[in-house]
Amino acid sequence: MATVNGCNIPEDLLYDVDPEANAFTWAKDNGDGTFTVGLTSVAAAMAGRLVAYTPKKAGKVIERRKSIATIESGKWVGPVPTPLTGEIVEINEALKGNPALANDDPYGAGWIAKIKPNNPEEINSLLRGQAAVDALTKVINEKGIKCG
Amino acid sequence: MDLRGASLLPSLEDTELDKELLEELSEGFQIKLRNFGKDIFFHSPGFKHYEVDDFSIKTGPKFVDISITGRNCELMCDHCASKILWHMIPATTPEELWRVAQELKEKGVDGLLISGGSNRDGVVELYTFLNTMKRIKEELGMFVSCHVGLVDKELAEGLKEARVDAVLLDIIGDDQTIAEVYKLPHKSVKDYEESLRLLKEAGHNIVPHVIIGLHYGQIKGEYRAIDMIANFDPSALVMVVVMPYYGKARFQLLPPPKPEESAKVILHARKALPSKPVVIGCARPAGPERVKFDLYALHAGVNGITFPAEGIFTYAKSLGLRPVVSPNCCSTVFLH
Repeated sequence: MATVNGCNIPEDLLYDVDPEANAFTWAKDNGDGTFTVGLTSVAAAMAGRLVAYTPKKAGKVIERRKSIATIESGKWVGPVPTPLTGEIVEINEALKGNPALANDDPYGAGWIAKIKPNNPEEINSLLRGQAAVDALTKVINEKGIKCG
Repeated sequence: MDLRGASLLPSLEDTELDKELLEELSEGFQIKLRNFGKDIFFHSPGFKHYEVDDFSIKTGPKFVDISITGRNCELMCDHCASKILWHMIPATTPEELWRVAQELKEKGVDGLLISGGSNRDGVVELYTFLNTMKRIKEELGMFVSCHVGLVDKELAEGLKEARVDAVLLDIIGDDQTIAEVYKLPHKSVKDYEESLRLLKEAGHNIVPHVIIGLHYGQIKGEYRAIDMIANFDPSALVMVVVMPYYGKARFQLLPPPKPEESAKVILHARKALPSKPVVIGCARPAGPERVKFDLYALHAGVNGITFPAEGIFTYAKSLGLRPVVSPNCCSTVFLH
């Protein structure tokens, strides 16, 4: 796992990184046709400690880069843009009760939603490995982000 | 306009509203329509990035908050523990305030809210900053409002000489709350009433705030505070709701008032101040409770909502209201 300025970047995940679109998310293939998606440690650090998580309803189909949830901290309220177009199959009930899980464990218990993608080509467009580390490192350096 | 048939939009369909309460709140809505028409303000001041599906302001910040004490507050009240100061820009000397104001003006900021932590008597010690505020008004032409604590005659008159545009202050209507939550056992409701009187005598536009649920999540002095405020011809009234996650550990475990309880307080404010703007300020709990609270507030006839929950902007239009979007602090609502 790469670590930049205290921000963990697991190399086995897929990433959607685009500052213009406010996209700093990850996706993980669950092997059953669904993907778990979440905020990167970089996004969690930029937002600050979360106090609310309001997901869209399970069953809804959301276009890539459209909001699958609204998150809120003391200084930031905004959407989580999904890295993949698809149907929301599960939302994170634990995150409703403790939104800061997304800060404390962004790649684990703090996941945002599970989705069933309907456009396989989008999966290939996501960043992986060193390319993802490089893209997030650029964001970390340009915005002066520190995690932890 | 009959609101009883108003249906919720798909984005709000999980929200269950109390129909009897909506019926009760319609009195407030009619007061608002009669005295202010269909315009409703949605504020999004620049201290926070705010973006939901149907509402966001993409321009840079136009109105920001400055703390003359940085993050420090001697009171450390149970409900806040100074956290409200954390997002403010620190300017802890008059020289720093002048420099910060100049920099902000160059970046396109038009308005400042100047505040800070309180001393142990509940006073924000703005005295040494008054000349700088006057300079900001005269040389930079910025809108300046001050969120103060308790004031004495010297501060009330000094703020007037500094030509501040509006004075904001939290009004508490219960002695026990003042003693226990605000850590001011030597102060009482009378002291808050006296501050209102001194500010009005000095000729200020006053924009009092009432914090719903301040007494550890219970409704206690809110109705008295509103009635007291109504006696002092405020320019506007700002209603906010206590946010447990801001407070000390003891406070964080307590739920805020139910949106239904808070809605009744809003209705009381609307009826007590039928011809003065009543607006919902930026501080209130996040998540689904905010959606419900904002919906009730619309039905109770408020003049504006700061950082409206997702779907509220669209819902307001469906009620026949005319949204006016503002990047300013909601305390400027009386200027319109």
